[in-house]
Amino acid sequence: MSSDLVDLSAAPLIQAAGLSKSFGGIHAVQNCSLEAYPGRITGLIGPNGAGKSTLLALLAGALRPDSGKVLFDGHDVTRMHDWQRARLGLVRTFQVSRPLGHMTVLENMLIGAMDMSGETYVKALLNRKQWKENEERDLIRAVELLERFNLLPLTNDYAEILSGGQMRLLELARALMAKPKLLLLDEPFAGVNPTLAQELADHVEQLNREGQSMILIEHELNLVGRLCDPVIVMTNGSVLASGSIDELGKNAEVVDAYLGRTERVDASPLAATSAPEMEAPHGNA
Amino acid sequence: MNHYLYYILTLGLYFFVYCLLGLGYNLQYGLAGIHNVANYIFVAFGAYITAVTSLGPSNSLVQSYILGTNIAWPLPLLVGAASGAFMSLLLGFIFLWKLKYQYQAIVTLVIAQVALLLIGNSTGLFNGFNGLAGVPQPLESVVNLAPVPYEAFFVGISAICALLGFAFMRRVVRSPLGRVLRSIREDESVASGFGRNVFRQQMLAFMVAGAMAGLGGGLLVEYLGSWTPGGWSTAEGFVVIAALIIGGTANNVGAALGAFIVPVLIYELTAFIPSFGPINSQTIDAFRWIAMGLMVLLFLWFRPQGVLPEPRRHFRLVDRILSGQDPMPGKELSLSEAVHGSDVVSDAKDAT
Repeated sequence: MSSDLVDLSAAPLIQAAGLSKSFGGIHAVQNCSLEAYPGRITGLIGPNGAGKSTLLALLAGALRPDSGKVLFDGHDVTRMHDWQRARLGLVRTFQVSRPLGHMTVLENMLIGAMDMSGETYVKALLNRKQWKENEERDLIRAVELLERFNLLPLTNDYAEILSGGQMRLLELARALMAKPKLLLLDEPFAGVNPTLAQELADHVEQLNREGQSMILIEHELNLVGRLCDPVIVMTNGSVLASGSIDELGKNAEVVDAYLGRTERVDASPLAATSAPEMEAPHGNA
Repeated sequence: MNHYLYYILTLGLYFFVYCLLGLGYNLQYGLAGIHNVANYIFVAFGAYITAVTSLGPSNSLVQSYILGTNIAWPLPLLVGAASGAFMSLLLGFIFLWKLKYQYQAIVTLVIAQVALLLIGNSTGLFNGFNGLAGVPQPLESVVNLAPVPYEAFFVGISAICALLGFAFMRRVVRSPLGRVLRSIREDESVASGFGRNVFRQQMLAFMVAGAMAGLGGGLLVEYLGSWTPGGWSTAEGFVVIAALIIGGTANNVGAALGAFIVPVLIYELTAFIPSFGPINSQTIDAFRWIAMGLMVLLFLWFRPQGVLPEPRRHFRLVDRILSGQDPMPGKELSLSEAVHGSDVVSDAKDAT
């Protein structure tokens, strides 16, 4: 576990206070506060619909909060757009892989690099030498990362032909091109086979060993226990508890909320009679 | 003989102007993913501004219009291009903010129809629905040529404009700018998630495309000598879109090829179909539009990428690495030095 490597007195890398977000009448996130520390993987768990992805989008700036505040690396980023936060080093991956389909894997990687020289008309036309130099540096970094993630044979293929698992790898590799200070990973192992999930988890663990700070949303508790410390539990749009996975495992309220039984019974009167029996086979899914 | 030459030169002019318009449309639609079906209003606006800046003061007995500054050529063309960009800036705030895909397309169409009605009904602006006439041809008195050589001279001017547009677009496509625009086309949230200001990039692409449309309009009005709201509207705008779809979206050579296939081959050459029996010039005109629509439909069904698809980008440096060759021949440079940067890199670069 990474905790013994981390300076516990370090200032939080990101700090969210009192974040709320509603969609119509649905309070997706209510008065959420959390902190994530440098060098750690902070886990974010909770049943479906708990508001984890919304919270992550609020941190990344893809959504604007109705109220609350986000501080990142000494900046108040609450009113900043996602692209402004990305330039500060706050980068996220998506719950559903979002490859730039009709661009090659390599070009996807270059979009991940936030070098941005040669992206204005004047520089693109007149400053070719400078952007070419930066591009070459990015290309070599991209090749190294593609090799690390076993994507090198696909370098010149369009990203749209990749398999689901390869898209997951590309998503992670592309985010690393940005050299993020904090990487927000929204279910990076979702929808891949167990072997590849393990492989991806190994990548995440290794990255953390190299000092990469992350916030990770994940449902598979074994992986969360292996990778994350601390773990934050969300339910119904609020933070329920936080701590190491062992501490949380002893918390009856957390266990109950995570399995989602009381919640689903409450939510749907129809399901109230049948839900407990129906759920049993899926309990460990 | 002379009128055949004249006719071929006319086709040449249309080819070059449609090249310019197609390349501009390629920038906004093919690269930046802006679904603008109303590019023709920027052509029209550029044409009107070029006309009223090259015409003398308005005489309300003949036709009434604003400006009438009679400035020296090529200033009217440049002002026309600038006004296309300016109009794009204004309308871009409507088109590019929060609107996407078919919603964006519908809004552009609605605004364009409103703009044409406004121009048609305000007679003091560009002489209303009657349009402007008597627009002087560039440098006519200076070069003092017979009709056919003058026509060739004018085609030369439009060829230069089209070539400049092509060179410009070629550079854009191959630069990081082109890559960012394509990433916006593919998925805006990825582009902005990696630090790109999507609105700004789309707005700039839209403005540059507007300038190219305005320049194309300026060339057309100088050639034709007149311009009416009805003369350039949805149908003519459709020709530009059809040309890019058929030639090849996001491919500059495809845009040029489309400008040859659609406006020149289909549109102009159908005029040679002889009248016989029930076939008169009106039915041929109708057939021309049917042919064009059918062609677009067939392409969208069976070859949506166009005759020339978007070229796949390769990087020589990486291809050399993949094939096990020295990535930077002639340079004493290891991979890690290249990655982490050293003075050697910049020195070696400066030398080349």
